[in-house]
Amino acid sequence: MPTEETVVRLENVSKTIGGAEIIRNLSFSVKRGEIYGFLGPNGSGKTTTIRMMVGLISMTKGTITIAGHDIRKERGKAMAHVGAIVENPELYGYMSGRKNLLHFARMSPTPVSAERMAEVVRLVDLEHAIDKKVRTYSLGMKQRLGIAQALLHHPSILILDEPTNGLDPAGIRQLRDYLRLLARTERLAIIVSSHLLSEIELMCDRVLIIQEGRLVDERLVHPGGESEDRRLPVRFEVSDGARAAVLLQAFAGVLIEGNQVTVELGREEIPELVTVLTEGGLRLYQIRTLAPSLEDTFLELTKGGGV
Amino acid sequence: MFFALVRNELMKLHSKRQTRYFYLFLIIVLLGAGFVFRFGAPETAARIDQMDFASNMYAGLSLFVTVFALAIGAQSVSEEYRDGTIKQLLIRPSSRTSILLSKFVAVLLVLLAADALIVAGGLLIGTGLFGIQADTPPALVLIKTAVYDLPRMVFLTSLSFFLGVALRGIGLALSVSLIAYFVGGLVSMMVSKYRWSKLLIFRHTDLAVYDPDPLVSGGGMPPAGFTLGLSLTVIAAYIALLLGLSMLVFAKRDVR
Repeated sequence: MPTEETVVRLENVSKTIGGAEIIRNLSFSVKRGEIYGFLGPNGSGKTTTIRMMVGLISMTKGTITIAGHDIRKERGKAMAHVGAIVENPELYGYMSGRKNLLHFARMSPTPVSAERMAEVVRLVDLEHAIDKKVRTYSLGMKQRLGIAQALLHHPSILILDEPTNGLDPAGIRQLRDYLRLLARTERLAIIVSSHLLSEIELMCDRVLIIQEGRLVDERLVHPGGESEDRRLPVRFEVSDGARAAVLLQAFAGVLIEGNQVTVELGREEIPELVTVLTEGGLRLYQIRTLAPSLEDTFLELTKGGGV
Repeated sequence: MFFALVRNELMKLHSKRQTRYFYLFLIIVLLGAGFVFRFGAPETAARIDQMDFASNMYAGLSLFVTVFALAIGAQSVSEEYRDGTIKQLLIRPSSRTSILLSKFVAVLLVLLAADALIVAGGLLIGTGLFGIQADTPPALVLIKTAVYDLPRMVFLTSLSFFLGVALRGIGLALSVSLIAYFVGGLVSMMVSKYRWSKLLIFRHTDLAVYDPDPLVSGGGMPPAGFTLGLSLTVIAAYIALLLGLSMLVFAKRDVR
């Protein structure tokens, strides 16, 4: 299976409710093996988009395809590839965890074997409680059972809407580890929606920022590795700014304000510059890259263009 | 696939205490009444036979069965909305229409099971405790009565089911269908002189009157121009209409 396989594609999707355009010409796609953060302030249209993707809400315009199937024309085939938790992990409290899983297994078009069921239960670490009524579960356990039901039928995409709502820090941590594991081992595409930036940063590979129903940015969360040759402004705090100016004459793009020296550098040039500065007798107090953080971008994007 | 959906609905219905307790309630009433009459009132017990006991039990308990079917009918969809589980149900490959239909079928199966329980239970306990006498009518009389009652029960259940889907609440759905249950006969009597009342379902729900056996029909006669075929058609049309409306509402609605 190709690693770059697109699992979900949205094309010019719009939704109008009572004359108001909630989602406007939204387009993006999601690939296998990656965790996508779907980030936006409350009311930006995250939940509406997710509900359209899983067929709970109709679209006014546009196309959504899942694993190559248009969700309007081949809903059954498209949904066979989806595992989801929409909002809270809503399960039948009056039945045991096992019966809940059985219920959802029966709804899968491909049969779910007993081994698969056991495997999923083991994966989410619920073996000890699977025969207890879900009513007695803690929120974290419900969340895990929710993930189990979403995984039963080997979906290609897992969609989790605000999955950390109401989880304690330990639960969030655990969820994060599961999702990482799943993206790696089951080669799933995972979409996690959240209004919390910190969560997305910790959990996701890629982030889609949505605001007022429009996609405003898509970027990698940790732009390490592949962007090593990218030049970024690096700021040095030195003991003597004037002396630094002399030492750095050979470098282009140097900006000096007092004892703060900012230089545009590639990654490999940083140690080089440090050598020049220290051999010139300067003391270094701090070195920091000034890459715009995800937070900066997010705030800039979502505050700026607001109504 | 559809069979799996029905099994799911039955599993859910029977995992709830209310359904298990309801079957238990029916059995306890049947046994309790039998033993109280047999050993608490020996003179009465000497006068009655299997059929007296079974048909009286049926007359009383079928009311409970109907009300129970109305309740689970109204609950079936509205409860999934209340608990939010509707979302988990609708993000599957099955179409909304088949999910809705599976729910209706499951409710009907419970209705049938409960109805069969009170008929069979009444006959069995009646035979055991009061015996069969020379003039005891055949069990078929009671079975026929129960079967003639079914179309009306199914209609009322579909009404309650539809209201549960449309209103997404149990309270109003159940009360409206209960009112229909209790005043339907009265309304049909009041309007029977008008020709259009032929289309009114409640003029067609008493099917026993078409039976030639006076033990079944209770001596009742069908209104002039009414036939069993006509009545069944009218009832079927009403049920189809209510189910169609339920599907329309259910399939169109955005789940937010």
